[in-house]
Amino acid sequence: MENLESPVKQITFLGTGGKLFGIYITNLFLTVLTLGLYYPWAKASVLKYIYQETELEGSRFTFHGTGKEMFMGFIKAVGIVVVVYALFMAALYSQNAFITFLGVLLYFAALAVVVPVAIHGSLKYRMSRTSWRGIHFGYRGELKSLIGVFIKGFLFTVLSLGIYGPWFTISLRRYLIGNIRFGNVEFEYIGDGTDLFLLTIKGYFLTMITAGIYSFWFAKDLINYYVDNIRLKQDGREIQLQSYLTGGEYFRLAFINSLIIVFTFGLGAPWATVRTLKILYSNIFIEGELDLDNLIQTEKAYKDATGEDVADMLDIGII
Amino acid sequence: MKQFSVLYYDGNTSLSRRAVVTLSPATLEIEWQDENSLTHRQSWEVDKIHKIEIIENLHIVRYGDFPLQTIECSEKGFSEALKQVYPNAVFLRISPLTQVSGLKAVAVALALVAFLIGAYFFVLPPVAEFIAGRIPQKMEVELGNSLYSRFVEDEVKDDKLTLLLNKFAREIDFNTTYPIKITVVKSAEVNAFALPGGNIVVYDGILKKINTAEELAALLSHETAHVAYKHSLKSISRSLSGYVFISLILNDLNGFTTVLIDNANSLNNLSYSRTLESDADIRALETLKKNHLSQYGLVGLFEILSKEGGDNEYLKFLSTHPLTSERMAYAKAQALRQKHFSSNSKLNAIWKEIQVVCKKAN
Repeated sequence: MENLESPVKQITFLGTGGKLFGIYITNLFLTVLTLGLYYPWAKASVLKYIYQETELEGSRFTFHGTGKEMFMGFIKAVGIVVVVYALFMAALYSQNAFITFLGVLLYFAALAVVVPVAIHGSLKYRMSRTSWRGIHFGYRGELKSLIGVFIKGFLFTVLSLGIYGPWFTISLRRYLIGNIRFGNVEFEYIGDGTDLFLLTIKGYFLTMITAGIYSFWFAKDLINYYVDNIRLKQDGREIQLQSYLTGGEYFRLAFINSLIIVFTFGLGAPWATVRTLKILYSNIFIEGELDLDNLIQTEKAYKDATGEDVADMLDIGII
Repeated sequence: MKQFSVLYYDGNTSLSRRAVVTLSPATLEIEWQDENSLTHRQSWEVDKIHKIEIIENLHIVRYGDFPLQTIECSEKGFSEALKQVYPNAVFLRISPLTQVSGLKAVAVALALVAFLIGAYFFVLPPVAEFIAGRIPQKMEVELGNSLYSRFVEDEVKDDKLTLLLNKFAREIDFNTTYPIKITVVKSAEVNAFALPGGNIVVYDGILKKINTAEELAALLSHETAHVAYKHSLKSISRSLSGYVFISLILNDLNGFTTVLIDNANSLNNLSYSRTLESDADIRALETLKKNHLSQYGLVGLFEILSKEGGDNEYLKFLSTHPLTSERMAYAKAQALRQKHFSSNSKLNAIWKEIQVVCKKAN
């Protein structure tokens, strides 16, 4: 088992749509019967399945999270969201311009804090519950710093009418990914705001003049840009991720997935998910001397799942 | 003693070690040799073992507190042997919920669909109506007023007719605690509608078609019935809950399917609106009877509506007031049986004033 001799590695997804469908439909049934309370357990079971069917060098990943943990987070998340919305709505219906203004201000302030809190909690929880060959991932970021990064980026983006957006995205990725650990492997993101900005401008422009056809190539570019700028560091060695997804492949993926979903009224979603994971993973290569036999556990036990659910409610996709 | 070859991970490094596990009565004994041929042993107490994971032939068993130790076994017969040696062990109990596949999954899917359809058609509507019925009258009036002020913003009010119609309405006992307030709006449309809480909007187009005081009384009685029965609130509640229900369940869906389902939802509401109309008709007939007014007023009103119904411009009216002929037949049958009614001089006088104003407007 000398990993250094085979510098290119791949993550493979071995799951099937049929199996995921079994989980999905049971979840849906129980979620409906319990008026949504089953949701955290449903989510845990899907993550468990997806992780255990994800393989690297012959070993499966594991999701250690449980429905119970996520339920506690879910309750807290519901509380936070309900309080913020209730205050906002009360202010809107107060018929008083000043109170309404305060309400809107509070809403944005809460959003500026709730989103980073959600991202932080979610990433921290998710990473701590992910392992491979017994070695856990971890997120070492600090909430205060993330709020700083977020508020700065958010304000600049608003003030620049969105132009700062790509730099904001990159600064978030740099902070978030830069604080991920996989045992003694450190993650780093080396993307650049200007590059992403140019990529976005090119994407918008070509999408417009091709009446939308280019959007698939644009999406492919964004995915590849995201993946290609991730670096792993182990004992001073740098390891690089490369995604070779093509626009044609992405188009086929998106097109067939939307057909599956439309014609099954959404029931075919598990097959679409499986297709997506298979195609995305099959194009990603880990290039460099990553020694998977000598990962060393560096995480401590961690308990709190609030962020995971706040992120879900606000519909934030993380990583 | 049963033995199996496994891969062992100690939880401190990712190194795979080939090991042998022995299933002894109270413990799993794991034994491996390191690179210097030294033998190491780990003893796992059965009640500290985490739930087993089985992926086809692969069995993953974890042990202890963080960082967990792990063994992976791909040998056939491992799970059978575990069950035999540790028949009551908690770590071997797998929830049946995680094993739904194939035909079982299809059955669950069908049950789910049946359950949802049942809930949508039979549980949701009464619940939505129940909730609408529990909303305090004060709140309903407030909601109606805010809807009303938004509506009149874009319309031209006829102040004279508004005044006269309110005077007319005050002469009729509608038998309701709602504050009935009528607004006449300039529009060729032959229509009138009720908002929650007591606001009634009448287009002057319909006033120009109406021939008698009884027909106007019938129109107002009908709209007041909608108010008294909280029909708009119930409709809003039903269609809103239907929409929320559907979008909650299918929240992963794309726009195309959502539009499809949204339309189905409003079709379902359309049939509901028919029963509301008949209910309002029945109450309108009662109001006319109570005020000793001729129920032929309602029949006359339907005649106006059926004439207008043919015109495409007025199809909107049909969608909320459907099947005029059936409703007319019912009103006629009732009117034939009505014994005590007389012409109301006060109403007639106000009606004449209204007619004069209407004609001037022409």
